[in-house]
Amino acid sequence: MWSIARYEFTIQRRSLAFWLVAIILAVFMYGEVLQDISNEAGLASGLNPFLVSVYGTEAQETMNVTSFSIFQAWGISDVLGLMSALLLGILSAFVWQRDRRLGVMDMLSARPFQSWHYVLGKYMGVIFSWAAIVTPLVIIGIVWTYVEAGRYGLTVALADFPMPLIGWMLLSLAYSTAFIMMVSLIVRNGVGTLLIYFIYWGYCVMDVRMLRGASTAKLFSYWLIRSGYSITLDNFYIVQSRFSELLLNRLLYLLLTILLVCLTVWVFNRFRKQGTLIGIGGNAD
Amino acid sequence: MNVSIRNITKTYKGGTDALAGINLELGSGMFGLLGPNGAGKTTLMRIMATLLPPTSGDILVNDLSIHKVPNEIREILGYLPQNFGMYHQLTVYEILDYFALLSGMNTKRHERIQEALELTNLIEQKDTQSGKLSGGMKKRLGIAQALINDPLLLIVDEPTAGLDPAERVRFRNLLATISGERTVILSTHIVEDVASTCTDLAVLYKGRILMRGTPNELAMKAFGKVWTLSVSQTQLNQLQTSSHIVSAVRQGDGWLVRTISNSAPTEFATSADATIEDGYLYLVESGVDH
Repeated sequence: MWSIARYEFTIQRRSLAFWLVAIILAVFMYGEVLQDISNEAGLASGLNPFLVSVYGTEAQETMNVTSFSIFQAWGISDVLGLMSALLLGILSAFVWQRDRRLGVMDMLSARPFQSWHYVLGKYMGVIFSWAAIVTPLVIIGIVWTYVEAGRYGLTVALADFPMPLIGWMLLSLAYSTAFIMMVSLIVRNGVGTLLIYFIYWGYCVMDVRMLRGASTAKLFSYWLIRSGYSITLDNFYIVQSRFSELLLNRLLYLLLTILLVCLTVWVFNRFRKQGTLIGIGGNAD
Repeated sequence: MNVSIRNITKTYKGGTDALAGINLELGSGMFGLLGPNGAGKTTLMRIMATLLPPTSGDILVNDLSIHKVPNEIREILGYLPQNFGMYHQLTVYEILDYFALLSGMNTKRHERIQEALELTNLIEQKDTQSGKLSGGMKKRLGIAQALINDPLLLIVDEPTAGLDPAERVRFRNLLATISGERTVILSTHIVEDVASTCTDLAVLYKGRILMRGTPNELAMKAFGKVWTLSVSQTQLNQLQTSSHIVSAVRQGDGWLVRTISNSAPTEFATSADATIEDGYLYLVESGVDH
């Protein structure tokens, strides 16, 4: 499984799409910061200017009731998580189609590997690719937080970062990857998968940002999260008070991720037995 | 090594009958499966390679059923499909390493890759990305991946299609070299490939086995039915409607024609020696079991 993941990661990082996604994400996250530094304009609010531009005065309101490092940690996790979730589709939607289009799948399917090894290997390979792009951006974000905090005499606790970055962003991305890889295996069309995923992503983002709804979990968890106890934009960064809801939400997504990966293994194995994974066009000769 | 193909049929969705009851017993050595495009060769190869389930029947490899224990068959199987590609981002060595790992090889993997590279003459290209290889080199890389687990059963589907004549000869020699104690099944519509490498063959046509035997026995199918004659353009046009023309070479104002028919097409026709290609064409044209 790990060798499949290692080679999937190698294939991804040598592809144009990987570097395009990395550059777009880096520019999106920190382009504005670099612009401000180059203009020597400084940062008026003492916050990540992108986050301020997104959240406006709400950021300052949040700052009044929470710490700077928690705000920054959730801000990085939220913005980077949402944007990389969007761009991640480009890395994961074409994994099965690429193998079939290239004609590698026929040779691979004649090898004595277990289907779950292969699916999990591919899945982990995409996660590694995403991590290779996002990790440097997260490190820059943490360093930037320290720099900003020093300028304004604010305190920063490193312990504020793991929960948003691992518990929230990594798990969300693991779920999105599982979702995309299952859909692309069934739909058998990378572009079609991206369309389906973008619609889903758009719904989830709108849900959080515009409709002030019950977070992305609303799709699946009406029965789990009672109305009024869910995370909304107003309390999104004040998570200490909503820890139990957050934990339930994360548990739900962890279970959904495991379920989707298991489902993908089952579908892959079924397709392998039926012989529908193979053939470039599947002629009947 | 023994391969027993027992009453294999395959009907695709939509009702296309690709195979209609194939029975074959194969031992070690090179076996040629000849047939025109659409005969069902690739379907049979895919079923043997455990990629496609048959509609009915079974294949036993050393008494192991491909239906019941596909992964055990895959452990002793090498397969080169008709149309294939490689990850163009990976080097030749990395591709072979990937296939070796998927074959469950952990120890002695690097030695085996080295052997496959030497056998297919790809040592100098081992650090080249597969996207930069020529067509012939890609085919050799394909056979190298098929050989990576030292298979007892090697299935190659139309391996010389698209290669230039020199590369085709090189590839045929490579197949002959590696056959040894293995069972190598070579599927092709190119008669020359089988004639120069196989001692045992079958002709597949419209999903049925028309003939099983040696290349010489195939040639004998057209014995006494091959004719050469010189004709004018008008006679050539008439001949095309009444008999099967194997070749027509311009000769002055007329044509030197080689044709297959049960009786002499004209009184001036002379009988010629039958080749394996004549036998194959005669079988396929008549389309009946022999």
